[in-house]
Amino acid sequence: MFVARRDLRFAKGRFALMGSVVALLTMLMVLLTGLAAGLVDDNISAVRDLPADHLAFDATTGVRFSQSVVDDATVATLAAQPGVSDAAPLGNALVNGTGPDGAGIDLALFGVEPDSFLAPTAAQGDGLGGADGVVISPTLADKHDVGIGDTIHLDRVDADLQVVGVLGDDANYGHVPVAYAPIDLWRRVTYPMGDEGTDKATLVALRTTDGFDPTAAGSASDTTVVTRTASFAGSPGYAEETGTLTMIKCFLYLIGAVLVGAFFAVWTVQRKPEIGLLKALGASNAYLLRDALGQALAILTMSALVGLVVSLGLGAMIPNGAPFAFVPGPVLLAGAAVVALGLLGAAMSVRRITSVDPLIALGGAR
Amino acid sequence: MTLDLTDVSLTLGDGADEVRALDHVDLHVAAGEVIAVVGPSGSGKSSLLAVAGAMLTPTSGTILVDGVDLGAIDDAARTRLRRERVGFVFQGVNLLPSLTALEQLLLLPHLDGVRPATQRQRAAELLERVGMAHKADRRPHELSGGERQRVGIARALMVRPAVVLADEPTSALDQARSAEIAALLADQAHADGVATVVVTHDPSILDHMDRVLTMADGVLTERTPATIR
Repeated sequence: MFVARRDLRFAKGRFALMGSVVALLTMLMVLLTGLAAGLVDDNISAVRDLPADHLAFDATTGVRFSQSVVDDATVATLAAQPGVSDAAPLGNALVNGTGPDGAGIDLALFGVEPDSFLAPTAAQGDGLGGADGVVISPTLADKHDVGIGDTIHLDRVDADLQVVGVLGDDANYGHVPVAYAPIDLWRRVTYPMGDEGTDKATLVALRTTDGFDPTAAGSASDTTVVTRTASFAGSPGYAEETGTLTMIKCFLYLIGAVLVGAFFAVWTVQRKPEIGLLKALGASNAYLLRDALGQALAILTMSALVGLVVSLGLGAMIPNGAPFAFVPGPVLLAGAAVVALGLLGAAMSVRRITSVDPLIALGGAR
Repeated sequence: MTLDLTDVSLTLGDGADEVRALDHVDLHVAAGEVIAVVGPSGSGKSSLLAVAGAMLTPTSGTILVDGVDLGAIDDAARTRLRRERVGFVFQGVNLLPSLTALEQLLLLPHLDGVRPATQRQRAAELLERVGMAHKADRRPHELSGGERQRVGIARALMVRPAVVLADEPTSALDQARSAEIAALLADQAHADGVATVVVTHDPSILDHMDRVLTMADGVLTERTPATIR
């Protein structure tokens, strides 16, 4: 890095230009990563945070929250399977209602048995117990100014949900806040025609041990059993949202690698006489490649750090309620990917150092 | 610390484009001796420096740099030999633009894996010897052509080379500066016992040379300075 460090200082204008492009790219990647995490949170955080490791859906519908229907017999069959330590029904439905101020509210109603392992723990107020009592996500409380003791009226089925507790963490499903209700209340809301739906639910949530075989359990109970993480794809729009953002990020990584590669390609061509001189003075290809890649790594790392810090600042300014979340792991991974792919682009360009002839220093073969 | 070329020939190009750049060249430069090679453009002067400096492999013949047979060593060893035993003084772009005068000299031990800080004193002494100590912290664009060439000479001596090869070291200088640089090169070579070859078009520097040879169509012939003039 003897020459590379001095080149960075000497040609700081050119490197600052390149660095600002990398910093902007990093900012975009980090903000997109935050948006992706926010959208995931908005879509499936309630499913992600379920205290279950596997979910069983109706075999005929497959892994689809909006269509799957199971009954108590399915729950009982699954509870008896080897490796299943707990099984409980979970009802899932998107409903509309009106808040205490008469404003419309969209919410995801999760029906659970109040004494099952799925029952939520309220951070404020009480847990599930009463016939009409629900425990709501703080998002619902914040966005619609709904508090403990308030009533959410579901117009379509003419039912009232009494808010008895508020969860500690946000719980969302399908981009709307979740309200946990007793499974009987959920059944009344989802199957308002009477006895027909009394033992129905959307799926069966399972807690399993090492001996659990999802395929065998699924065959025995006529269900499709998947891990909790695999079930995310069953949420409407989840695969499309994450797929779109992943595609945008892949293109940005590619653009970043090409941009950095192009910069170092031009830089290498411009430095050809100096590289020839260095070779004539006895610099080996390995030394020159180390020097050039070290230079690329330094500029990429510094720029990515600047981009990371600025985007964290910008992220902090994004208003609450926007689908945006900074998760350290993916954010750091995005920054590292910008550096790694930029370095790959630089490597593709600076390898032409090896073909520079030291004879250039003597004006070529004369 | 000598340079020996025995029956060296170099053919460049193929077929109709084939050129005999060096034609059975014999040359012995003793330790501390300074020789000039003059001749028209394209006569093979720079090819002579290229083969003597281990940058080109001759088609035939033997080259010994400080006793090391260049034909008997691989590319990596030739690169190392250039780094450790040969000092180059180039014309044109001969200094790295981002390095100060002092750093131009410190670069060489760094290429050799030696911590530059330990070589700082020698670099400062060499700059003193070529009259550039007061501009040690200047970059090339802050120096005149003559000053750049002085730094180039100091750099060539930095690794205590066995051989110095100078390619048109006075081409960008006026006559007074040319004589000054030639005298400096000769003095340093005599003082350090370095075998030095100066390729030049400049007749004004020949008085400072111990011997003068002419190159024409790849053939090297010994002359006296008076003959050249």
